[in-house]
Amino acid sequence: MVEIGQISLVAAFILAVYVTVVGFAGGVLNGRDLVASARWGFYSVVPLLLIATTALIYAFVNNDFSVAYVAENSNLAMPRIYAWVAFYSGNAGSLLYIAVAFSIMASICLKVITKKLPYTAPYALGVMSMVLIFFLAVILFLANPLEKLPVTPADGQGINPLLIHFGMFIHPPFQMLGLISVALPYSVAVGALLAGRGGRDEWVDQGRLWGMVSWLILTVGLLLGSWWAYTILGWGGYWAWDPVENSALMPWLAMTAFVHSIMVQKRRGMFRMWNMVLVITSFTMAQLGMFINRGGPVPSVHSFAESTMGWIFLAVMGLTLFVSLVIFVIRYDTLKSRGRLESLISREAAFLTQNLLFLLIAFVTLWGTVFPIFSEAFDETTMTVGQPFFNKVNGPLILLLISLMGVAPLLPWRRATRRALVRMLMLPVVLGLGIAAAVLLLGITRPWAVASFAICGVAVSGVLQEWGRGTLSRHRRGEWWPRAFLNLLNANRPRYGGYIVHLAIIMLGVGITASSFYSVQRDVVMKPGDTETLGKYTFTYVGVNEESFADRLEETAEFEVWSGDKYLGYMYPYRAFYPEFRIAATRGAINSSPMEDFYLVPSEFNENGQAVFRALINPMVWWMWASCPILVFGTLVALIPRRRAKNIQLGLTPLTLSNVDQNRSTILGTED
Amino acid sequence: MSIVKVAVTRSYVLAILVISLVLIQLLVSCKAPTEISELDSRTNSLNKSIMCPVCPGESIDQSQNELAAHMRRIVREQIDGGETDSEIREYFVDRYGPVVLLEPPTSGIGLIAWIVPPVGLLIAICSVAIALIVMKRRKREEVADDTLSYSDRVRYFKLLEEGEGAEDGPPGREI
Repeated sequence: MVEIGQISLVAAFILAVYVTVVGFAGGVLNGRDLVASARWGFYSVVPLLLIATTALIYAFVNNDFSVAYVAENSNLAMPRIYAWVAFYSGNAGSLLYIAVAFSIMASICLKVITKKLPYTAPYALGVMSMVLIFFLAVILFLANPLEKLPVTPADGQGINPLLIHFGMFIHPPFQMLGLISVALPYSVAVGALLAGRGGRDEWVDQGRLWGMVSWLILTVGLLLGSWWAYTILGWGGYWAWDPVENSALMPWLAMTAFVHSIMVQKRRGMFRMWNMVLVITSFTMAQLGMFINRGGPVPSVHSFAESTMGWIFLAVMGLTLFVSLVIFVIRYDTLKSRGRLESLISREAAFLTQNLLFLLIAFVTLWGTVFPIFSEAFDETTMTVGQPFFNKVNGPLILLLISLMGVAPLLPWRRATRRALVRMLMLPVVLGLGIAAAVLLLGITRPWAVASFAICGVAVSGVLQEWGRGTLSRHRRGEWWPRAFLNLLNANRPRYGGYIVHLAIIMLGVGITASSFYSVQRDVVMKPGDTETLGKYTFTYVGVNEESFADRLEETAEFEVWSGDKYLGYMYPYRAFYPEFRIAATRGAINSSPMEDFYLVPSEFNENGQAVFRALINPMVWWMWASCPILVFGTLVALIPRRRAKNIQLGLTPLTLSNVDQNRSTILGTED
Repeated sequence: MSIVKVAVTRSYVLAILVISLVLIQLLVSCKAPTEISELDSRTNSLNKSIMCPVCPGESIDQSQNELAAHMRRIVREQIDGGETDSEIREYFVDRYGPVVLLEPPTSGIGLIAWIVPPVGLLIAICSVAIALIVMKRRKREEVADDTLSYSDRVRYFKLLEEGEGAEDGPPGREI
């Protein structure tokens, strides 16, 4: 089985090289047969890589420790269910996962763009297969997960115990998929540039589609990662501005800028160069993310796929950036803007400002992440740039961004009159101020928190106002209320779907604000029978239950918990010690409600029966996780394609060769 | 006055009513955030600003490591002993170097870390302003505006007759 996997990998690599050469050749020579051959070559890479992956999973499930990678990342004591996913827990296997996942996604993308963008597709195909060549080359020559050991060990070394969690099934695959999926909009955009069609806006719809697909996967990956950190890492937080987290956030930021700014090109034919810059930046950031995750220069708590090959990723990132910029410069003259900025108070200008803010946050995050290297090189002092720094510099920038999110969708294209501006902003601003007053009355007095809630209020009421207006005017035309609302959403899905996503982001913002400003915690030392309180919560430590497994010793504490007079029942935080790894994994017990989470986590159990626990109240964290399905829903609404509108702007009959003359006279009109 | 008149339409009254109801409902179900003692919150924020030396990137507040627990105890003892925040931080810097603080100092080379973000913001603001000025100054004739220029239209139909545009979609969207 392993040998078959090896052969498929080699075959996939050779095919990918063939596809690149023939794809580009087909594009340049305009040879339909060449392109078709390359395309089918690319499609056939998928089953080959699936065979290789199956071989690896088969080796894991059957405990085939003759395979070096299996021996390193699995053992007999590992819970069996994890054998199915352990293959992406290390460096080599995760590369194979990325290759196979990318080949599938890219094939779907290729199928779509071949139909929609026949001139661009061959070049996009070439770019995609080059991405694939890189991963397959690294797998074959540097980190082959199917390599055999000379001697078969009796047992493997085992998987990192922190990965033994339900989150393992969803977060890593999403996150890796997200990072590599940035290559899709990149391929489409660079393909269009190479084909000399970057200035025509025909690639915009496909660029937006794949940009949003990638954005969605990245977002879900980040949220799942935060959720996992919150439930397992057991310090009560969900985001620590760790280098690896930052490296996943940066491409997300650039991609968010891109999916917004591409709308300006779609509607107004502007920002053509800027969109290219954004898409190239996103891909560079995604590569940087992979570099940092695979043994980059900055230490991190979760470099699970750590290896010595980080520098190859860095070199390839540099090369990609350089080549992309060369292509950009060569095709520079095709990217002239059609429209122009007319006023600062316009949707275009708001989009531009928003884009720059996103890039600025990405840049500041990058700066903070690499600053320790910088300071060591120039001053020989090692410094740490951690959570407090990022909170202080990025916090205000994110707040600026959310206020823009509240105001920008209300602005019209081109320019706004003062009167229209007041009309649009009156209600949101009044309600924002109302919310500021309300939270002040509640006793929330920290200025940043008040500002954040008020700004979230502005953003929510902006969205509600837009929805309310549209629904009302449809209702006046005789539509039943709910029907009017649904028809409204349906009438402009990119816009109203975007609003749903905005609402989800505000939920996220509210959760983050509340939990970062008003989280309280206490470390308590307790003996069985002791009762402690935190805020309105009273908790009694009943005792500890020890249980021994093949790979770990679990100590599960039992608590009885009351909120005021209300009995909440038992909570079971636990700590598992993995002697082989000398790692303790703690898992908090969480009593979650939309208002606040009560979180209990053990930190140590002493010999004398005493134990140390940390109790936390994290307000409104629930909203962060609840935002995820809404966000996915909104993105899907915005993504569903509409039937192609055919030149309705001028009331022309559809353009075909037979009626060109008729249309010619209509358009050219007086000038003819 | 006229602006006010425009604003206070029926839709506004309705919207304000609905949203206020939601708001009141939220307020009723809300409660003031739990407060802890000044001492506890001081300890927490200090713990969050000091790194655990053996677990890179993690604060002693966050880390489960024994050393981190030990350092938390030291922080608490020093607070009880009447030391100020900066004295406590200094105590750890003396032992582990500046690397032990989770944010760079605002002096020496650490200052550069803090200066770059606001400078970046300034540059971003300037670039929006410059983009606006440059694009406003550009004459209308230079940009093809919303519709294709005469020469572009002629080119478009030429392309169309060659069968190229028909296959890949029209070169511009808003013809």
